Amino acid sequence: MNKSIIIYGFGRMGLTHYSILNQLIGNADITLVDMDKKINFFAKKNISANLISDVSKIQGKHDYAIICTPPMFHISSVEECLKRGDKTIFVEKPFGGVRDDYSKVISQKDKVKIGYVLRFIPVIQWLKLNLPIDRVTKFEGSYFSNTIEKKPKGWRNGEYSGVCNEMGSHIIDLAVYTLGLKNFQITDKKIESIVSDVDDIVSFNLTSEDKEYKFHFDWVNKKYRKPIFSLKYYLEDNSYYKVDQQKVEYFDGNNQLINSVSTVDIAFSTPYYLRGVEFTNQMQDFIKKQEAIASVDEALVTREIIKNILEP
Amino acid sequence: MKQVLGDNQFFGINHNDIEKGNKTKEQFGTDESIVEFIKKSISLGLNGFMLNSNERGFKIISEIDFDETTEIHYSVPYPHKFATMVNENGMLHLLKHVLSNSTFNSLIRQAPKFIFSRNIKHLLPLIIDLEIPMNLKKGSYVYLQNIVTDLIIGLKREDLLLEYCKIIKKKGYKPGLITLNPSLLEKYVISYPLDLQKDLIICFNINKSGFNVFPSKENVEEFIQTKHSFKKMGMSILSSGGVNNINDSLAYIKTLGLDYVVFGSSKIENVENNHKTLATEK
Repeated sequence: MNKSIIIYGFGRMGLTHYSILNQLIGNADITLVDMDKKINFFAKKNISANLISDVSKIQGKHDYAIICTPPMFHISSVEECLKRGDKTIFVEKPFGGVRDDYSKVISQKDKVKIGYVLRFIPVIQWLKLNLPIDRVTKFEGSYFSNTIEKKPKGWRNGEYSGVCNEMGSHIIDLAVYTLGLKNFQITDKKIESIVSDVDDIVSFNLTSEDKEYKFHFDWVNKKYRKPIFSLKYYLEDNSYYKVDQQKVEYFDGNNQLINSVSTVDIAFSTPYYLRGVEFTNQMQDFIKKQEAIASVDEALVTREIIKNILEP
Repeated sequence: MKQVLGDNQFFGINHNDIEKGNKTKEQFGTDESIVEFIKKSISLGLNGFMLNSNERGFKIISEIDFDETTEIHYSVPYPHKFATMVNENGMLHLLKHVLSNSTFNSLIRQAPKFIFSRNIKHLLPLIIDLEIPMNLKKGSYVYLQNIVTDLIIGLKREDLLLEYCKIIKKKGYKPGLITLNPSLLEKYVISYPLDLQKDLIICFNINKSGFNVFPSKENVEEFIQTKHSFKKMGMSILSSGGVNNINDSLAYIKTLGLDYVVFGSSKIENVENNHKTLATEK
């Protein structure tokens, strides 16, 4: 029997997940929901899926629901899917916004998974298996890009956007994923608006149990053609792991490189590549074992940190 | 096996080391430095060069005359430009951009077909016109970037790839398709008209370590060994600079029987060494 899939939102992420699922699941009945009638008007003649702009016309339960709407519709869309009885629900990060009410989602949280795709980068998967987390005393995470060159329009210039929600949430999630960050205390924060009216450059420090965390996000930096992130995990003897998208390097306390692992060293295969292996790996995990994909509880830790940063 | 100079080093792209990529971008800060590097590489014996249709690539092709025998391998579109457009103003802004930047004549020819059918196929000639410089030498290869090729495969709109190849040929160029899913693409391309296949190059990752070779190194080796009418170009042959033994990696590439390879480096001596190693008998 064909798998039934519903995808909310047909922007860049909706298009990416649609393409990947089209390749991963041979026989799938896919429904696309986008409230933008203009998008539907053009998509109808170009995509072999059922296109809907009115959510009241959605019928039946779906095996997979994929929510890629702008974040202000995340929670209401999840509620709709749960009410309808969809079996498994994937929501793109950052999973709503700082003022959303998550109580209705929490009661059925096991059905809901959140798309923090950087978890699925091969070096991050290697790190998850090999990092001695009990010995980590300090974490530093940074993100740089030149994503916003002009003042964005619409919701991208509002409270659901900004570097914390759009990019920084990935880095916070990596701290949650690799170190199990839960309870925290913000010790210092600085927010700047340079191009947009919301947060463009953000720095903050926090403590959690026996570890210190330092974050810096900047998405208006013209030095960077492509987004770049960097993580550092300091151990109690001052040695540290330095991580980026392509490699993990381990240095001793005198900054001497001890060893390194790069994506070149990590063998992996993927049945279909689009934008990065992590996107396909994420969908494979979501439709199969759900081992690495973010849970609601984990995503709510990230949400709570962002709330504490952005709210006065 | 023909050899083509890649362009990643010019624009700060290094799939294995982003910091290194940013450093090489500074080295090629002027258009003159790029042109000089290309000309030096050609004088060493490379058959041609690849350039993307980003702002600088477009300008270089528009303004510089290269030797008649130099093969130009031009790739479209510049993905970052379109990604930024979507980030800032949404998906429909792409459509607005294409329509508002096209010439009156192109619009008269294509816009009614698009409006009537809503099929994106009819926008392709407009998009291609915007991306190809007028001065691009006829007979050059024009490649579709992998982000677009692979998205089209995912959307199951393979008809767009055939249409792309036909349009490129009609304009007096030869089509190329860059993909990271060569085996998936193969299924469609083998049904193309033979004369089109003969002009076509499929460009894909292959290297000894299997870095970014999808779905697997073994699968792509099998694809290369299968006899086809189209030509095959290997890229990322040195695993984006991530290999320790370059000679072993090049020796592996030489065993494959590819029609073309594309490789880059920020150092001309590396280009020379790689060229010599690849050019010697197996």
